[in-house]
Amino acid sequence: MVQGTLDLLILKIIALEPLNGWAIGQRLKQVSGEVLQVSDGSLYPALHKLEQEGWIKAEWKLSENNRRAKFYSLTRLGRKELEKEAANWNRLSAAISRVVKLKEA
Amino acid sequence: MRLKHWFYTVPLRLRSIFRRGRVEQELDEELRYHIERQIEEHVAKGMTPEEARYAALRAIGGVEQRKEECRDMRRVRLIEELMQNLRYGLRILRKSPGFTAVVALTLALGIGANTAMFSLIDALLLKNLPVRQPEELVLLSRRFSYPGIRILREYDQVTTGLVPYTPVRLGVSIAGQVEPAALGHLVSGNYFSVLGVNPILGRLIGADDDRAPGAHPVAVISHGYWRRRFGSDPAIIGKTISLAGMPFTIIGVTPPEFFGVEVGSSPDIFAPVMMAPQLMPAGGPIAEEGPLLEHIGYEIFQVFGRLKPGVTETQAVAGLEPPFRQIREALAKRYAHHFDARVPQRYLQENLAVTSFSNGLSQLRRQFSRPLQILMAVVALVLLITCANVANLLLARASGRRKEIALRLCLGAGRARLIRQMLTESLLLAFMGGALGLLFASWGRKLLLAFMASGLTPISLEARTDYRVLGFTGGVSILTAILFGLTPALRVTRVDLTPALKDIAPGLSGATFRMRLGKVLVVSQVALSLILIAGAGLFIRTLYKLNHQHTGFNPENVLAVRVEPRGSNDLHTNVAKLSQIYSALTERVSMMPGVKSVTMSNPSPFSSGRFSAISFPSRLLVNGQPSTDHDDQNPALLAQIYPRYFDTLGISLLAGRDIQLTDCSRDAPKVAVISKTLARRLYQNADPIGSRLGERGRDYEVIGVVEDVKYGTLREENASVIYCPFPNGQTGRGQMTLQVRTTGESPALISAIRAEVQRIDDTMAMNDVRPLSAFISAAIVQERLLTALMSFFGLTAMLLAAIGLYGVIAYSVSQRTHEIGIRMALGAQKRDVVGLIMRETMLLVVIGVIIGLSAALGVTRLVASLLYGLTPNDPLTISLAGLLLLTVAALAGYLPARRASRVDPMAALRHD
Repeated sequence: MVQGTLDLLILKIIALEPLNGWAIGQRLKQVSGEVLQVSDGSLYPALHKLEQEGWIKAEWKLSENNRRAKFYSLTRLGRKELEKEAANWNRLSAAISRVVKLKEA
Repeated sequence: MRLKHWFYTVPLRLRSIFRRGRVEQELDEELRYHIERQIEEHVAKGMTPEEARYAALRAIGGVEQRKEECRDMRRVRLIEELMQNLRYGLRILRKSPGFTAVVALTLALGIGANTAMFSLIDALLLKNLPVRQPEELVLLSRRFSYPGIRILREYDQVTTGLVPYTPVRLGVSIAGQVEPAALGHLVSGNYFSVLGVNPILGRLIGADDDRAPGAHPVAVISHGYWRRRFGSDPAIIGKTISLAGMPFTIIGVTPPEFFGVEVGSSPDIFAPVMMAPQLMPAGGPIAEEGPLLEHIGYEIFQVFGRLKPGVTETQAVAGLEPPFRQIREALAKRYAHHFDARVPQRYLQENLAVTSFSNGLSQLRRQFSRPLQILMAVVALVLLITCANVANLLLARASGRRKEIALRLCLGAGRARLIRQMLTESLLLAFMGGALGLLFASWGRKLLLAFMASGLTPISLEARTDYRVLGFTGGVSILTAILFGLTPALRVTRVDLTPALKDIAPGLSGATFRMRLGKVLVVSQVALSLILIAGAGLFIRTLYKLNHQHTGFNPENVLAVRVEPRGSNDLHTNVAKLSQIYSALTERVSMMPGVKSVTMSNPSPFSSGRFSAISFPSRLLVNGQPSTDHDDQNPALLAQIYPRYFDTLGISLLAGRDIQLTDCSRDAPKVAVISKTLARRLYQNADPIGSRLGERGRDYEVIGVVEDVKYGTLREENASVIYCPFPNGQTGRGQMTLQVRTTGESPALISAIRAEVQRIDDTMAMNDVRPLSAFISAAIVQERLLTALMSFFGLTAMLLAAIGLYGVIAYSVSQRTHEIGIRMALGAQKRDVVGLIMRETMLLVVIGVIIGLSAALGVTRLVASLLYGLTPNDPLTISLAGLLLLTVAALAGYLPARRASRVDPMAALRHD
C-alpha cells in the first residue's frame, strides 16, 4: 500500500460515520473490495497516531452488539486534514495515471 | 492553526502522562474488543473457537508489540522516562535520608551564597531602571548649576529634554509633628515625563510646577512613603506636608516599582527644582554670590536626558560640547580671582562625557561593585569546592551500587539510559539544594544589606527573588548537577560486569580509578580553599591594621549630628543668628543628664562636613615670612570649631591652650590651634605658640598644638589642620556638626538631642544622631564586609576540603584493609601503618597546597587596591594560610590512619 495512504483511508471512513477500530478494518476491506488489505496490526498504531495529532477523537460507546467499544470520529482539524490529503491524493493519482497512459512510440 | 493544534493535543499528552493507568487500560480494552469481535466473526464463518482465536491473534501479530507501537504514538516517551527516573531517583534518595540531607545542605550553601550574591549584583549593577525604554537614557558626566542647565538646554538638539535633579535631606513635619528627616529629590518639570513614569494616585510634577523660584510648593511622595507614613490613605492628595518648615501640597504618588534614578537610595519625596532655595539646607540668598538658582558656580544638579531616535552617545557629546565650553568659560571668569590660582584653569580643562543611564546612578555601586565582584568570585569558588565534595560523595555511594548497576546493564538497560537516570538523581539533589539555597539567599541578602548599610541609612535596594534570580538559581543548579553528577555517572556505568556481579572485591581497575578521581577532586579542593583562606587572611590583617590605626581621637561614647539652620550657607549675613542658635544648642544639650561635654565643629571626623578652606604651604606666612614648606600636594586645611572640641573628642592638647568661648566672636582677636604635623612642617623644632600664621591679610595667632587626627579615611596621611574658632574660619558657610560626649551608652539621648534641635529651630535640617564610632565602621565597611565573608567562606571551604579528604582516605583505608592486615601480620607496627596512610594523605595535601599557593600568589593581586599595610603576596599571611590548611588536612587524614592501625590482622586476613 502506498505510504501514508492509510491515514487518508481511515480519515475518509470515519468522516462518513463514527466507528470503532474493528469496524474500521471491516469497512476498509468491504469498500475496497478486499483490494486494500490493511493488516489488523498496523491499524491501531495508525489510529493512535491520528488521535494524538488531534485529527480524530475517541469516545467509548456501546457497539452494535451491545458491548463497550472505542469509537473514533473526525475533529474539525481532522476534516481539514482530510480535505488536504484528499486533494493531494487526487493530484498525485491524476498525475500518475497521466504518466501511465502515455502511449509508447 | 498552531494554537488550535495544541488545543487538541496538549490535553492528550497530559492525559498520557498523568492518567497513564487509565490510558493503558483503555488500550488493552480496545485491542481485546477487536480480538473478541474477530473471533466471533471467524466462529460465525465456521471455525472452531480454538482456530478462531489463533487466527485473530495471528492477524494482529503480537498484542504486546502493537501496544508498544501505540504507546510510541503518544510522543511522551522522553517525559515518561523522565518521570520514571524522577520516581526512581526520589525512591533512592528517600532510602538514604542522611546522605540526601548532607548533600542538599552542602549544595544549598553553595547555591544559596551564589544566589544571594547574584541578586545583589543584579540589583546594584545589572538591572535597568523601571522606566520607559531605559536604554535610551544618558547621563552627563558632570554636575551643572541652574544657569548652566539653561545654557545647555538652549543648544540641546540631541535629547528630548535635559532633566536636572538633586538629592536633598528634608526636615519633615506632618500636622505639626516633627517626623524623621526624609530623603528628597528636587526634580525638574520634565523629570517624570522624560522617564515615562505615571502616578498611581493624583498627578506628578509637570512643567507648570517648575516655572518660578519659590512659587510651587507641591510635593509628590513615593509609594513606599505613602504606605509607610500615611497607611496608603487614598485621600492623601491635597493634604499638606511641611518640608524645611514650609507647607507643601501633596499632589501625587509614584508607582511602587519606581525608586527614582539612584539605585540604593530611593527618595521618599519629590519636589520641583524651583523650590531649591526653600528646600536646600544651605538655601536662602547667598548675599555675596547671588540667588542659588542664578549662581553659575553652584553646580549641584545631576543632568540626564533621553536621546532622540538615532542619536549616538558620541553625537550627543559633540552636540553638547559648545554650550559646555561656554559654561566652563563663564566659570573660569567667575572664579578668576579665586584664592587657589589653579581653579580657573582647571575649569577650562574639564571635559564633558555622556554615559548610559539605563541602570541609573549609584553611590552604592561605586562603593560596593568591587567588593561584590570579588565576593561573587569567592562564592563561585565555594560552589566549585561544594561540587567536588558532592561528586566525591556520589562516587563513594556509586561504588556501593556497582552490583545494582551491573545487573541493570546485564538486563539490557542502555548505558545512556543509566547515565540519564543518575543525572536525574543529581538534578533532584541540585534542585533540592537550589530550593533550600533560595531560602538561604534571602536571609543572606538581608544580612548583607544590613551589613553594607552598617548602622547608617538603611539601603533600599530592589533585591528580591524575582524571575531573574529564579532563573539564575535554576541555571546554577543545573550546571552544578552536571558538574558533580556527570563524572561519577560516566565512571560507574563503565563497569566490568563479571566481577561486579560475582561480588568479588571491587575489580582493581575500578577501585584505582575511583581513587584517582577522588584524589584529583581532593587536591583541587585543597588548592581552591587555600586561595580563599589566603584571601581571608589578607583581609583579616588589613582590617586589623586599619582598626589599630591611630585616629588621634576617641570615638567611644560620642554622638554626632550635622545641623544645617536655614541661611547657614551665608555665614557673613547670618552670623548673629547662627551664633545664637549654636550657643543655645550647646548650652541646652550640655545640661542634659548623661552628657559629659558638648562641642561643635566643621568638619567632624568621619561623619560630616568638609574643611572650610585650604591654604597652600607655599602661600602661608609664618610671622610675616613665607613658609619654608612648599609641599602644595598636602595643603593646610581650615576647620572651624567651638570650645571643648579637643576635650570632647579626646584629642590631646600637646602645647598651649584650648579655644575659649571668648575667642568665638567676630570681634575677638584671631587665634588658632594647629595640628602636630602642621607644626612640624612649618616650625620644625621651634615653638609655634605665640607666632602668627596665615595668608596675607588674614592671619591667626597660634595658641596651641594638638595631636594629629584622621578625618576622612583610616588610610589617609595625617592632615595638616588649622583649627579656628567659630565663626572665624575663612568660609562663607556656617553648617556645623554637634558632638556630644556621654557618660555611657545612652540611646535615650539620641531622641532627646533630636527634639532639642527641633525645639530651637524647627526649620533646621538635620541628619540622624549617630555614634561617632558608627561612622568609623561605615568608613571601613568594604573591608569589614570582605573580611567577614571571606573568613566565613574560607573556613567553609576548608571544612569541605577536610571532609572530602577524610572521605577519600577513609575509603582508601577500607580498600586496603586486607593489605594492611598482611603488613601487620608480617610485623608492621601501628606507627608504620599510621605513617603509611599519612604519607598518602600528606602527598595529596602538599600537592594541593603547592597548586593553591601558586594560584593564590597570582590571584591575590586582584584585591591589592583593597588591602592596607601589606602586599597582596604578604609572605606571612600566605604561609600561615598554607600551614593552617596543612594542619587541618593532617587532622582529617589522621582519623582514618588511626583506624587503619587498629586493624586486627587476623580479622582482616579472614575477610573475603
